[in-house]
Parts: sequence; C-alpha cells; structure tokens
Amino acid sequence: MTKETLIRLIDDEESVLRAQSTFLTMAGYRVQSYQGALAFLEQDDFSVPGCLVLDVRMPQMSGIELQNVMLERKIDLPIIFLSAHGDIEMAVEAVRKGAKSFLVKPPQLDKLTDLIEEAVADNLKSRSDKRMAEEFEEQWAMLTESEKQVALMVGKGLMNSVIGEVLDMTERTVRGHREAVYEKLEVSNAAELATFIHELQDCRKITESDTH
Amino acid sequence: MFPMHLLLKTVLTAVLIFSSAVFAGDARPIVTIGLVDTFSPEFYIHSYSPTLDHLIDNLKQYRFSIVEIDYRNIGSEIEQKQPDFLVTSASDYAALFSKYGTQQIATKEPKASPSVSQTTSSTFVVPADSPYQKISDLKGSHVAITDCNSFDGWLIALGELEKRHLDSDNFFSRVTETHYGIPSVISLLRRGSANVGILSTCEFEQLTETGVINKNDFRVLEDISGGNGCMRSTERYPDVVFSSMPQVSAAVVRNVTVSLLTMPSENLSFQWTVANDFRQTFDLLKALHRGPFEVDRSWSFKAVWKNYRTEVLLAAALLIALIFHILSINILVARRTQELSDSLAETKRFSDLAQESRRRLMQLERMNIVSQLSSMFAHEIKQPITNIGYYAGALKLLLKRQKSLTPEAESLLSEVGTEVQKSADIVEHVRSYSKKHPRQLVVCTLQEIIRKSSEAFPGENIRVDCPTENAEVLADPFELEFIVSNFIKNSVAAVKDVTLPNIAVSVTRDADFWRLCVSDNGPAIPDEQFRYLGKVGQSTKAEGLGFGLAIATAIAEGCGGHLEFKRLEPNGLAVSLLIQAYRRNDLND
Repeated sequence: MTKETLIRLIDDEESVLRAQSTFLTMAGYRVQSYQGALAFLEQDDFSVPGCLVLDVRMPQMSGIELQNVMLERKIDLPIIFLSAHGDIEMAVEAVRKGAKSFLVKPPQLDKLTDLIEEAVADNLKSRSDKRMAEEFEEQWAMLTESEKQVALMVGKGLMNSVIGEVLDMTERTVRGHREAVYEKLEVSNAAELATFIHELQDCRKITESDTH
Repeated sequence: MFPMHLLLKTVLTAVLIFSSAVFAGDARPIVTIGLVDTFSPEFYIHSYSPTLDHLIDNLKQYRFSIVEIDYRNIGSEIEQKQPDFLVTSASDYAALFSKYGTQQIATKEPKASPSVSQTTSSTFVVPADSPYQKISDLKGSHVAITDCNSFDGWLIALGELEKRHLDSDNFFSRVTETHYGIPSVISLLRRGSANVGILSTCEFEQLTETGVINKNDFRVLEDISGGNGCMRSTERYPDVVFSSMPQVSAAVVRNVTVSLLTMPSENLSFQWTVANDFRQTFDLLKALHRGPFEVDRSWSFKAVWKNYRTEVLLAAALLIALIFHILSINILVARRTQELSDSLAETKRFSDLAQESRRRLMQLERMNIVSQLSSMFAHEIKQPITNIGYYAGALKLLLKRQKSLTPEAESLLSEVGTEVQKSADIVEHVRSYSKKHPRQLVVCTLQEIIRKSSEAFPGENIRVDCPTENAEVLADPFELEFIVSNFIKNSVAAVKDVTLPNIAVSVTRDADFWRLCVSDNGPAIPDEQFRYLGKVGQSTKAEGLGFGLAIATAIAEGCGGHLEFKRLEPNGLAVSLLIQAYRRNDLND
C-alpha cells in the first residue's frame, strides 16, 4: 500500500495500540496510534486518505460516538470497528451508519488486512471520484445555458437541424454552440460528448449517495 | 266529748235554716255563701257570724243561703251546691283560684295586723324544759296540731319546713290532730304526749292572756316576731278570703263587695279589706304540692307524665344527647381509625415502594456484578490474547520479509494464531454465561428517572434542579435508574460524616446530550483514587466492592453515553451521566 495512505489506530489500551501498530507496520502500512477518540479528532490530518481501526469501548468518547461525530463533520475516513465483544445490535447499527466492518477481538489478521486494503481503496476511490466529479462539474460549469442545452441534445445523438427546431434556433447557431462545447469539454465528437455527460451524471449520483 | 266547733256550727246552721224557712215563698234572688271549714271555732263567733249578719242586714234585696263546703271534697261540693261566694283560708283561695276562677272581693284584716297580706302565721311551741332549740331539731319528733287542713294551724308550719328544705312529709314521726277538741294541743304538750305543738296566729298569746297556760311553762321555737305583734315561727300570710265565683253577676258581686268593705268594725277585732299580695301563699302551695301544684301520687303513665314531664323530657333529652354522643364518638373513632389505617397503609405503600425499588436495584446490581465480572474479565484477558495474535502475525511477516520463514516456523506461528482464537472463544463462552437481561429502549425523561431513584432514599435531603422541558432520552429506564441511584448512593455515603450535607441533582443540556449530574460536599478525593473511579474493584468505600460505578459506566456506554467525574473545590465530587438527547425522529431512523 502506498505511503500516502494512513491507518489510524484508536484504542484506550496502550498495549493494544502497540501490538496492533507493530503488526500493521510489519504488514507495510503507515499507521498512527491515538489513545482515544478525542486525541484523533484533535490531532489527525483527515485529508490524508486511509481508514480507522477503532475500538468500541473507550472512556470519554466511545467508538460509536466518534462515528457519529465524524458523520456530522463529514470526515469520510472508513471505519473498521474492533470490539472486545460481539454485540450484533451495535454492529448492525454501526455498519448501517457506514462503518466498513465490525470485527471482534482478536481479529483474524488476514481478514483485518484485507478489510484495511478494501477500506483504504474505498477511501481513495471515493476521494478520486469526488475529485473527478468536481473536475467534470468545473468543465460543465464553463458552458453557457444554451451550450448546456445543445450539449445534452448532441449527447443524445440528435441532428443539428432537429436541435435547432426543438430549441428554436438556427442550425448555424446550433453548430456554433456545438463547436464551443467540444472545445470547452475537450471532446472531438458526439460519442465522446455522450461519454462525458454519462460520466458527469454517474459522478453526481455517487456524490449524492455519499452525502446521504 | 262533742267538739265545740261542731256545736257552734250546728247552732248556726239551725239559725240559717230557720231564716230560710221564714223566707219561703220569697221572690228575692238567692245569694249562696259557702264556707270551706278549716277554721277554729273562734272564727265562727268573732268573724263569720258578724259578717253574715251584716250582709243579711245590709243587702235586704237578696236572700242569703249559707252552705258548708267539705274541704275534703271541695270540687264536687262546689259543683253540687253552686255557691256564689266562698269564704276560705288564703291557701284554699289560692288553690281554687286557678281551678274555679274564684276572685277575691275582700280579705279579713285583724286590726292588730300590720298589713292585710301579712296576717296569719304558725308557732312551734315546746315545753320550756324541752331539749329542742331549733325547728330543724324537731326531726322525728311527735307533733300535736288542731287540724291537718288548718292554714295557720298546720300548713304554714309545713311550708316553713319546706322552706328550710326539710321533707315536710316525713319530718315528724307522728302527728296528732285534736280537731279543735279536748285534749287541746297545749294539753298534749303539757302531758308530754307530744314533743311539739303547732299553734295558730296569736293563739299562744290568747292562751296566756286567758290564763290557760303559764307563759314560762312553754317556749316558742325561733320566734321571728322581734317583739312586734304576736310571736311566730314562720312568715305571715293573708287571713280569711271572701271570694266570688265567676258565674255570679257583677251587680251582686259589687253589692256584696261594697257591703263587706263598708262593714262597720268599731265593735269588731277585724275589718274586711282587699289583699293584693298572694305570692307567698302561692309559693307555699307550690312547696307543699297543693292546689294547682298538687301531685298525682299514682304511677299511671298520665300521672307520671304530668308530674315529671320536665324530668322525663330532660331525661329523654339527656338520653338522646348520650346516644348522639356515643354514636358520634363511635363514628369519630371509626373515622379516625380509618384515617389511621389509611395513613398506615399509605406509609406501608411508600415503604414497600422504596423497598421494591431497592430490591430491584440490588437485583440489577447483582445481575450486573456477575455480568460485569465476566465482562471485565473477558475484556481484560482479551487484550493480551489479541496482542499475542498481533505479535505472532507481526513475527510471521518479519520472518517472511527476512526470508527466513521456514515451513516449520510458519506452522508454529499458525498454531499460535489458532490457540489465540481458541482462547478468545473460551473467554467469549465464559462471558456468555452471564445472560444480559433484555434491554427495553423506550423514551423516558430524566426527571422521572430522578424521581424514582430518589424514592429509594427516603429521608435524604436531595436538592433537584431540572429544566422545565422534559429531558427525554431513549434508554432502558431501569438501567438509568440504576446509574442515578448509584450516584446518589455514593453521595449519601460520602456526606455521612459531613455536618451540613449537601446533595444536588441537576439536569442540563450539553449540545446533543443531557447531562445528569449528582454532586455532593463529601470529603476530598486523593488523585490515585480519583483516577480509578468507575473501574472495577476500585471502591472508595471500605465496604464497597467497587462495582457500582463500573457497572454504571458499562450501562452508560451500552446506551451510547458515558460518565464523567469531576472533583469540586475545596471538596466533594460531581458525577455526571451524559446521554444522547432524544430527538423525535430518532425512532424513525
């Protein structure tokens, strides 16, 4: 796993943190240990992608409480809960709220590393999707309202003459808009434009689902 | 011997019958005069005869008929003989006044008398050497009298006894009547046949004057005359009364009255006048139960009712009052008893409630101690087991990286991993022995939780400060009650030796949380002890196991909250439960 990612280990027991970080470091991860949820919230750089390996039962702020806080603050780091005891109700609730997984101590190590892999990949993907969506949106935002209307119709494979008729503009105007759209969106033909629009809509869907 | 007065009466009657015969065929209206005979013979001679003579002479327009009314049968005699006028003693007049409507027209007034209303009296006479000094000494003595119907010869004397609250009916052991015959009262005294004699008005003086007795041989008891007039032992009463019957015409009454009042008295010792005060006479009758005050001695219901109406009514009223009293007392007692038993029941109910509450909390505590012990053990042992797993995994990776992971080493490390899992399973199995009671998450208010928790500590002065809005949380109220009770229990124990104990429970809003804080002014807590608050086995109380707050911590975490401990300056502790405030849409999530 790349050095740009960071695995946050949060547990109130120092010995656990030590053992956990020894293992995960050995497994090639960059890790940061926090002896409590508050320390994590205060000190961590959330912009660094990665995930959390979070203990449930901790004084001051429990793992579940931290999850709530992160949801509120829109901290998008995936969470792998590690609980001393299996509490199905709690696990279901945590996962329902977006936790990557809920493991019971001691975890099966390969399963833990697999989950970390997945979580980190998810985080990276979600962040890159988000970035891409932002880029798409930025490019799309460069179009005027008329160009957007024309672009959507071109993307659907309509002829200039038909577009002109529907939008009540001359064919020549339509052609002018089409050229501007190609240039601004850096596409060279109607097929590429259709792909762009499709991806833009996909990104919007993901962003929407992320925010919920 | 033939009594003197009967002889005189016989003569008189003969004269009158003779005069009636003379007037036979006479058309003049007849005026009948009735005499109720309770007088001494002297009265006939010196008063009655002259009066009748005067009337006959003076009122020639009437024919006078003289009849005698037997004092023993006055009622029937009056009805039978229909007299127009009556000549009676003052007592008989008073007795007839209310029953027959007799009306005084004149009363005899002896010239020696100071007033017409104070004329006759009685005298208690004893031999000079008698041991009797006072009237009251005479109780049980033998008395001699002229006639038991004589007003001044007996009735006035009896009245005197009554006046002194002596029972006149049974005062004397024996009463001897002379009926105006021989031996006379004084003779009986002299002979010693009687202890005391009753003489009528001025009789003693007359006997002395006529030489019948020697003044020094006898003694008058309790003479109250004071040397003024004749000696007497009693009050004075009016003398003979001449009264009219109601049926007589006013003209006749007027004529007879005028005639009586104008009767020449030069040669007489008395005159007729009008008495206007019969009060004493009425009082006497009342005291002796005579005339209008006569008591029916029979025991018929009517008689009893008549005689004892007041007493019967009084007794009935008393009985009713008594029954009412008894009833009201019973009702009151019943009511008080009911109130008392209600109050006892209420007290018992409160006590039961507190006991039940304590019992439930203790049960929860016991259950939680087992659960907590297992849980703590599981939690604590799982840490090192987990760590072993991690280290085994790390070692495997290290060997792999150093390219020295031989198949044997790998196999050994796998064994370690397997054993780690096995140990964890065993721990989990042990933990599962303590079954957790099913939690019931409901919306409850911290106010209600505090109220219920306080019930387990009756008598403790706990200050409660809550917001007006309901502090709603989604939790198992029973578990919260356990936490709050535990807080209060610790505080109560902490302030046990404090002079002015102060325990306060407050609820405040803290962002999305409700903060339920129990604070006290117990002794200061050392650092070491404070650090371990809420951890198993770290009781600050000598007798405590240290589970209370540990369980509370676990429960709080179980429902998404946590505990906070804060030392207060200069001493005391504030323990808070922070629990997510319930939002109305939480249940819909």
